[in-house]
Formats: sequence, structure tokens, C-alpha cells
Amino acid sequence: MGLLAWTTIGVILTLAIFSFLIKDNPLYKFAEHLFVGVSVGYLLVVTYTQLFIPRVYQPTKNAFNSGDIFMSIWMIVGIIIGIMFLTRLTEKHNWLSRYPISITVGFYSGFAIMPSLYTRVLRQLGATVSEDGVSMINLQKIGLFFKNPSWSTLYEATYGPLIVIGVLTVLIYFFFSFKNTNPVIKYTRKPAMVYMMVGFGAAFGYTFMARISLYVDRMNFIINEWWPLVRVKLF
Amino acid sequence: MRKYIILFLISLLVFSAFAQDTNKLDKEITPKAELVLQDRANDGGTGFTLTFKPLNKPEELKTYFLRIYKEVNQEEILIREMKVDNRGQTVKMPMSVQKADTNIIARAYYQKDGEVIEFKEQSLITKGEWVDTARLSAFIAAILFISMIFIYVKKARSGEELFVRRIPGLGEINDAIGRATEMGKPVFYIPGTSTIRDVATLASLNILRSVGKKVAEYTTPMKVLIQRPLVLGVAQEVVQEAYMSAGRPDLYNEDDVYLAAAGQFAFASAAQGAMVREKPGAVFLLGMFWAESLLLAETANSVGAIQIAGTDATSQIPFFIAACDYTLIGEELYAASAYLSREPKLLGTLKAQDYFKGLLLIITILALFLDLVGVEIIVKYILS
Repeated sequence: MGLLAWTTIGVILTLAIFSFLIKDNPLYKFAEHLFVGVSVGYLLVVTYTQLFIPRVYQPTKNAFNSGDIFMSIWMIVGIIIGIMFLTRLTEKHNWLSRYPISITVGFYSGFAIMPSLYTRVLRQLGATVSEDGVSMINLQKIGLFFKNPSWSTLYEATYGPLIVIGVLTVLIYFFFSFKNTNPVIKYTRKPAMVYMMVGFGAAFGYTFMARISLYVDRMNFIINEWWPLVRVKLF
Repeated sequence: MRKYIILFLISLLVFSAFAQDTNKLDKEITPKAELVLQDRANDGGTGFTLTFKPLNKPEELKTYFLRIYKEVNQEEILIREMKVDNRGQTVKMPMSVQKADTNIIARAYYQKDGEVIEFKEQSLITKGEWVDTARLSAFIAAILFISMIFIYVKKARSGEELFVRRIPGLGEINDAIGRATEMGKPVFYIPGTSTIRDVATLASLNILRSVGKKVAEYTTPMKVLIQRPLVLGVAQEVVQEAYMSAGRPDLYNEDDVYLAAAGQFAFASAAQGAMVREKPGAVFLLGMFWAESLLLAETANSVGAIQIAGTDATSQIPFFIAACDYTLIGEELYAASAYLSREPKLLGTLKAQDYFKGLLLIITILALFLDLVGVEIIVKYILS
């Protein structure tokens, strides 16, 4: 009976959220506030059990117990910086909270430089020039298409050049230092837009299908999980 | 004669017995394999690679066993145990431990009469390097880029005119705030749903400064909805500073910048609820978004708000393009803060970014031409 009760609550909450499609109503407000409350409570528990205990309390305790002075000082400094964030709650000392904020923002900004340059810039451009040691503009494949024209040879011949043209034109599109009347910007703008819109269209379709699958999952929950349970338990 | 025949048969029997014994000796297996432990180059001293090459034929010995230990306080701790089926192929396994300078011991075993017998042992002490030479090109690129930033920031500070082309969506920010002011409705700003480490969040917080300043000038109420606790602190600081720079610190209310909810969809439902109840005149969705993007954009559209969105999440840009009035695509989000504020630091950075991109474009085109003639020098040493 407990399972039926919880599953029924799940169904009611699902329908309450869907009721927003008609208009805002008390049922939706109840589900929304419950959802928000649960998420904040969940975050609190997760932070305590998966962050505070294993990353702060336990290492500090271990450092003190093992007499590791360097680690103890390191942990205490970290804890003090963390506590400084809580000074936001006071009017007099809330300026102290700027220190942990600036440390965090500074650290992550600096930390992002190398991985971003390496993975998002250099390696991506490398992959635009050649893939698995084969040049993206492969004259042999292009020649093969002219010798033996077919859909597969056309695909092989155009695959690399299309990627190269796409990368270069879209990269030029995101130059902000030149006027739109600049010939390079002017003539690459439209092809770049076409490339982006084709990419966005594909992404839209793909993600839309993923959203539909979420809806199907909810309906599956109501029709194939909850309803059979109701029939077994009540009828 | 019969005696000789009997003797011959007996001797045959005896020899056949010997022959059987000799076969038995032939089948006595000597396990052979290459076991190599190799420290991983260019790491902090925690990685190593185990290579195991069976040297027996698969029909001689079908299975080997490997055990890898790490030595901690003179005690061997088993870190991995595995069975290797002999297919005559070399097995390579990249592995890692938590600490540098750890003594690793690898032992190879085989099974005989149900008993597991060790036949090979290798050990290695993992070593760390100070410099990752494999990423030298990225390091040089970073130095070059940072130097360019310094040069262009200096130029911007010296008062040199730095041109930035018009970005369509950004021109509409003032109009959107103006419209909300005329209608007597609040402005909603959502700086994405990602953490403070995300570049898009940082860019969005920069734009928030300009939007906050404009909102304070127009004395329009603004609500900033946040999903991440750390972003909340930064956003509150940014908005307060914006109100102060507009000369209206009295209008700043800390509760207007608030944590709507912690979870992704909980945040989406809270933001949707807030939009429906407060009916904002303009909604800014700038930053990193995931699946909640369309939910937020559609709700803002349903309450009749002007929506200006921007993200670098390629999977979410299509939804913003479909549902919002103006969309900043990818890097336009990063350029927006410089365009709006005209601050020398941001303008200089944007210029440096542009010229660095130009340099990379030239290198890529050059690499393409060189690659065509079989010279892979750029791909090998710069773009890999």
C-alpha cells in the first residue's frame, strides 16, 4: 500500500506541474514550492555529507591526529576563507566576503586558460587540418570522385572541405574588430550564418526529441507503472 | 626365435613408456611473458603504464594473472587484480595512484594444478615532472595571448579608439529596459544556471553590471534569479556596485538578487512561477543554460516580456533563437560586456582575443596548405 501511496503522490505532482500549461494555479504553486524546498534541503544534505565531512572535517581531523602541521595550517586557512563567505549575513563585516569570492573567481578564471586553449582551441584547429593523420582537404578523395562519381565518393570528397570552410567562415563571423562592410567579413557572413543555422537546426531536432522522450517517460510512469499498480491493489 | 620376439616386444614396451615420459616433459610449461612498468611522462607523478606481452602460445598457456600493488609504509596494498586471456596480443593498461613517488610492484602469475604460481615481478617508483612538455604549444599560446591582452589594455587606457562592431542584440538592451520602465513592470535577469567557474557565467555577470546600472538610472525594479550559491554572492556584489555607480545605492535591495532554487528543474519551475506572477517587461537570459532554457524562454514569451538571451551552449542556442526576441550567439556573449561598458580592460581583452583569433586563422590556413604538400610541422608541433 505504501508503494501505491508514493506512486500516486508522484502522479499527482506530475499532473500538478503539467497543469501550468493551462495557467498558473494553486496546485502548480504547491508542487513548485515543494520542489524548490526539497531541492534546497537536498543540496544542504549533499553538501554536508559529500563535501563538508569528507573534504573539510575528516582531513582536518586526520591532519591534527597525525601531527601534520603543514596540512593542519593549510586546512585552517581554507576553513577561515570559507567562513569569511558567511560574513555576508552581517552588515558590518560583509566586505570580508569579497575575499573568498575573488579567490574563487580568480582561481577558476586562471585555471580555465590552459585547458581551454589546449582542448577547445589548438586541438580543434588541429582536427580541422587533419583527422587521424589524413588531411581534411584530401586531393586523392576529390580525384576519386571525378573518376568514379557516386554518393559515397561525393561524401568522402566533400566531408573534409565542408568542415574546413565551415570552421574558417564561422571563425571570421566572430571577429568584432572589423566593420560589417569589410569585404572578408561581408562575403563570409552569409555562408557562416548558413553553417550555424544548419548546425542549430540539427541540434534543435536532436534536443527536441530528447525532450519528447522525457514526456514519454512521464506518461510511461503514469500508464505503465501507476495504473497497473492501482488495478492490482484496488480492483 | 620366439625368445627374441618376446624380448623385442618387451623392449618396445619399455621404450614406449620412456616415450610417454618424454612427452610429459615436453608438456611441462615454462611460463614466459614480458612485463614492463613505465612511468607516465609529463604528469604529476601519479600515472604509470603496465605492458604485458604473453610469450607462450595460446594452446600452451591460456590464461595469465596479474596483480598490481602499491607500497605504503612498507606494506603492499593490492590496487588491481586481473585475468589476462592469452590471445598472443600485448595488453597495455594506463593506471594511476593517488601520490607521486609511490613504489609500484606488478607480479605475473600462472595456474598449475589449481595453484597460482608467480613467475615474474617488476617494480617502479612513479616520478613527477615540473613541466608538461606535451603542452608547450598551449603554454606559448597562453603567454602570447596574455601579452596581447596587456598590449591592447594599455592601448585602450591610453585613450586610443578601439573599434567594436555593432552587435544587434545588445543595442536592444536599453530599449528592453525602457519598455519595462514605461509599462511599470520589473526586469528579470538570469545569469545562467552554471557555477562561477563557467566563462559564460563570468561574462553574464559582467553584462549584469551594465544592465544593473541602466536599471538603476531608470529606477526600474530588477529581480536577479540565481541557482548557484556562490554565484549569488558575486551577483549581489555586482548589482550593488552597479546601483552605486549609477548614483542610486538607495534603490538596491539585497533580496531582489536571490537564490530561487538549487536544483536545475526546481529552479526552472521557481523562475517560471515568478515570471507568471510578477509579469516582467523584459527578461535577460544570459549565461550557461541546459534543458531549462526553453522552459524559461517560453514562459517569458507567454507573459509578453521582451527576451534577450545569450549562451555559449551550442545545444541551447537554437531554443533561444526560436523563442526569444534577440539572441547573442556564442562569443557575442563574451563581447557583450566590452561593447556595453566600453571599459578599457574589457575592450583591450576583446581586441586581443580578435587578433589572437586572426593569428590562429592564419596558422590554420598555412597548416592546411603545408599538409597538402605533406609537411605536417604545424599540426605536429603547434596544433596538437
